[in-house]
Amino acid sequence: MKMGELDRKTESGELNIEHISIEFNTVSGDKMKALDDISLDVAHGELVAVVGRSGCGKTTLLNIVAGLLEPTGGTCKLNGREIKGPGRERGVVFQADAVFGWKRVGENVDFALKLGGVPKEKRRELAEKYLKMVNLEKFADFYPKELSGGMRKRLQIAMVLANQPKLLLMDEPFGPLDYATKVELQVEVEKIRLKHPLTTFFVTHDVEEATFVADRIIMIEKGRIVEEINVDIPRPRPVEIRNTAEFHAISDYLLGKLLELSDVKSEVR
Amino acid sequence: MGTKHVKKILAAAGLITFWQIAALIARSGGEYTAVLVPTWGKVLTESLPGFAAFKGGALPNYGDALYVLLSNSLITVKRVLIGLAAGGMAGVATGIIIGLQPVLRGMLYPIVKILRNIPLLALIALFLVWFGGEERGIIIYIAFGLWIIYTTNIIEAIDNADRIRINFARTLGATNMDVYTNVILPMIVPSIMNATKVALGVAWAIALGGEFLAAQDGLGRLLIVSQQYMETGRMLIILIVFIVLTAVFSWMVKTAGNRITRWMP
Repeated sequence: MKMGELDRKTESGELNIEHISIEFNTVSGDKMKALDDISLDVAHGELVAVVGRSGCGKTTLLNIVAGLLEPTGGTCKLNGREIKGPGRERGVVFQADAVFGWKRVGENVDFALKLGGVPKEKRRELAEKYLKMVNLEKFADFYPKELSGGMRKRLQIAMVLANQPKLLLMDEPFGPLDYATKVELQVEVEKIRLKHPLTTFFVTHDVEEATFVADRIIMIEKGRIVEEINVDIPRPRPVEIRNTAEFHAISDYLLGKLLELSDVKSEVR
Repeated sequence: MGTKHVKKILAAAGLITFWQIAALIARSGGEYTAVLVPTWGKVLTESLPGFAAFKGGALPNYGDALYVLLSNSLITVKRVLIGLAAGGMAGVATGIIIGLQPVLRGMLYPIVKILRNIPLLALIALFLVWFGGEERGIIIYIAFGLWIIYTTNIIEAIDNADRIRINFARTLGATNMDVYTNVILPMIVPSIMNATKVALGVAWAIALGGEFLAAQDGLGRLLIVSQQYMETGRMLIILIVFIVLTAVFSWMVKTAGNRITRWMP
């Protein structure tokens, strides 16, 4: 199938992370192992959430899969092909505001489509389609600064999806947003993925977020996988499932585990 | 009219009044001190028409005087604008090349840093020797001074360019060329506008310096000749012309800058 065709199928990929290790030089000149022999598979259409405390190595792992960082050891494969450098088959939704402020909302999506090799005459229609997908169709002529943080995040998601990636990487995507907006966007991700079941690697420190979005949750601490649990809550997941015992059993267990792993124990008497 | 304009008009009125009071005090001090700070009456009725003398030694009259002021202003403005355009374009080009190419940067950035630390006025003599004391020498000198300002500003802007947006473009499939033209270049536009504000101020100063030393015309030339004849009134008028010119050009750069960077938060 030729690139840029309107009807190209969103074919999701399978990610294999094999024995990934990475070392950084510390300020004092020592070597620090940020990731130590991580192996993890994400199946077609699966959403794996990686949770852990700040500095545990989860974002480093995502950056390696994105091709923005080179591991010291091990390989990552997408559909059997080794990952080298960034590529548009792996779309990344960053925590920070990454949309291009000098382009209008519609132009941002158009730029993503252009980078994806979509011919000019098809871009307009596609840009509208993806803006609609994230409910921004009325804001195509706005500049990003005129949108709220949550809307800019929606735009970032639209740009990534417009590129039709085989793997979606989300790096604490909703971290800087207010709580209600965050929950709203989690539901949005759920809706979009019900229509387009895209393999997703979702990094977050928020155990409730992980429980809501994930099929499977991996916990990393000090560069190693310390826990792996399946989230057997059926989809579609409405926002109300946050009130169920089933949901809390998982999120509370994860929180307990994270507290247990803390270096500094604090007790309230 | 906003309070901002009212404040500006009040400030100008204050300065004019202050000058007049100083002039009246000076006049009471005798003939010599009266020449140092002439009253506004003398400035407008004697100094201003006296500019006619620059037009082939004509007798004082307002028509020729205005012609002299206008034509010499245009000459200085022309030098500033050509210097700004040439220095600006060259500086943006070299700034981008040095900023993006690590090898060239290693070789050339230290040289640019040394050049930046030389006081610009110290270079004027050298430029006049190299390129002649006429039009060409002055314009090349202005362009060189502004080239350094633009180059260093652009290199710093590239260093501070937001990595997240560059990475976002790369994960969307951008080639290096896409990143340069569609991400880095738009990100440094605000820095180019800021550099232009700084460069314009410097341009007036070094254009004057060049005209003091070498030119046969321009506002700097008028100023230095007026000084030689102790024509304080004419010097004051040239200063006022300068205030008007710099204000007009600063406003134009500011307005253009606001338009170009209106997307900025």
